[in-house]
Amino acid sequence: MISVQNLTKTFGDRVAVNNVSFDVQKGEILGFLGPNGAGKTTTMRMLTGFIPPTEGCVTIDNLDIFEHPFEVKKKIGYLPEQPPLYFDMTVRECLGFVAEIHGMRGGMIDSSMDHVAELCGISHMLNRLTGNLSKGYRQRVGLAQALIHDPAILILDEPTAGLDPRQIIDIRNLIKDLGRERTVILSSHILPEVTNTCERIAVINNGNLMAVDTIELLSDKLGSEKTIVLNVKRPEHLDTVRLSSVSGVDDIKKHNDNEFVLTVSGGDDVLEKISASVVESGAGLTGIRVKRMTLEDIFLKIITGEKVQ
Amino acid sequence: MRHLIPFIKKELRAYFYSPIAYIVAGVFLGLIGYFFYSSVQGFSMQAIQLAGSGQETSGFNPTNIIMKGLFRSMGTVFILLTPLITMRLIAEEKRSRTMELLMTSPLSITTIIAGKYIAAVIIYVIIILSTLYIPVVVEYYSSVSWPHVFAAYFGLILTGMAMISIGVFCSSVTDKQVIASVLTIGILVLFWFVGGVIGGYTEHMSNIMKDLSLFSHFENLYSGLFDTRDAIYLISFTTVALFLSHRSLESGRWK
Repeated sequence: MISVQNLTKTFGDRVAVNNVSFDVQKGEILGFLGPNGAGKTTTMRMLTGFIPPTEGCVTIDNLDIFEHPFEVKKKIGYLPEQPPLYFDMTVRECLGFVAEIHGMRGGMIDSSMDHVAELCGISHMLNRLTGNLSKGYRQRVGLAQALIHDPAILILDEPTAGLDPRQIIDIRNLIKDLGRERTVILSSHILPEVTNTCERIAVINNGNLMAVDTIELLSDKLGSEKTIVLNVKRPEHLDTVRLSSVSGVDDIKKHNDNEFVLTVSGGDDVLEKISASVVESGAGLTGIRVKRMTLEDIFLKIITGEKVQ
Repeated sequence: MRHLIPFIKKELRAYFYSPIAYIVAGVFLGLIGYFFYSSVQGFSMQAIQLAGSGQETSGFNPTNIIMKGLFRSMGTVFILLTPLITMRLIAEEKRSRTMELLMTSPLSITTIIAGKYIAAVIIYVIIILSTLYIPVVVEYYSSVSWPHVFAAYFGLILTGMAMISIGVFCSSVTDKQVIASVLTIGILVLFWFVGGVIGGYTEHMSNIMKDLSLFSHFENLYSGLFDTRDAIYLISFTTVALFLSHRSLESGRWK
């Protein structure tokens, strides 16, 4: 549905997005994850045709966004980071205007407006000026604007930024609902947000795409390594050379007097061999525990430089 | 075209929601009303002095003495009011990030510029045509030369369209309304006085500058002299300014 090839954007000497390629299938929710200033917004702006890429191209349903801007823009609903609202208009006028510039007329606008207002929970706010709404409601109106022409693709830039926890949950659920029939791309620098709503994630850092995969596959690829913490009573008896020869043990580090940290790969049998080896050496095993990588660890590992193939 | 009308409607709504349209119209009509009052007084003083003095009175009629001066004042006052109408147009969309909404909708940059320009011109034409009560009043008490009045209004509208196109351009180069308005006044004052107060070193140079001046073309029209060259100049001026606004918005996306 959406295909991004070798997308590059430079601002002067600064490379904001560097050679990014990925595909999004119909009906998929893709999360764009990266720290602040990673190039998420720039990528999204190129996806929506707001700014042209320096190199590369974006095609949506096999149409290039810069060769067929009108056809493509009709299919996209875009919510920028700051909801684009006219503060001197009411919610109803804002939604009506957006519907009209998308070529909708008359009764179509009314029924569509009722539907999206209901969906975004702003039915009771239609006659308020957008300038007087709270941040959370402005965000919802922005989302309603993006949805009013019933686009097949939704692009949401940090949709929950600045909302309170209650509103975050509401918006997340709404996005999940929307994602049943639509293709959604959303960006965030908050990990749980992406893991809660998205099927696939794309991790971007310093303009480079570090990984695109489902969350399960990413944690399998990066999380196969485990860390084992060993506590022993008599560390002088522990034969580290013998221990490191146990297959599956990659590294041993002495943490403090009685504690060793082992990096291992493989299943539970490695654990069994390690404990057997420690017991044989007579070091007096007092504790052994396994630390798995959390999603935060994976995320940090990716953005600190490990490119996932 | 399909998208243009809702866009113009939205722009017009913004003029009337923020009180800009009312303030510009009020200030303009107030000033012109006062000028009208004082020129009628001047006219009657002169009439009394001329009566029985035996001087030549062929050029002495209300159209020449009252209306001509008023038309010139309308043009000059509008230099200061144009930025109030235009400064918001594009600068405000940029500042409030709604430009992102417009540019990601199926609207072309041409539609955006045209919609904003047409809305501003509509406001301007409404204000200018509200002064039509002046020739009607003069006609009631005396008589006016209607062809002269129509030529002058035609000139006012064309000149105003040129001024507004400069305002649109200045609004497209910045996201700050104050900068847009100062730029607009600067450019308009330059084009108003060039060839007149601002002269060249040689006569040839002065003539060229006069040809470039908005005022000298407006002068012919408000004096009741309809010349297609003036109309063509003013229309070309507008086209160039609007084309530059289009380029400025387009190039903004590449930076």
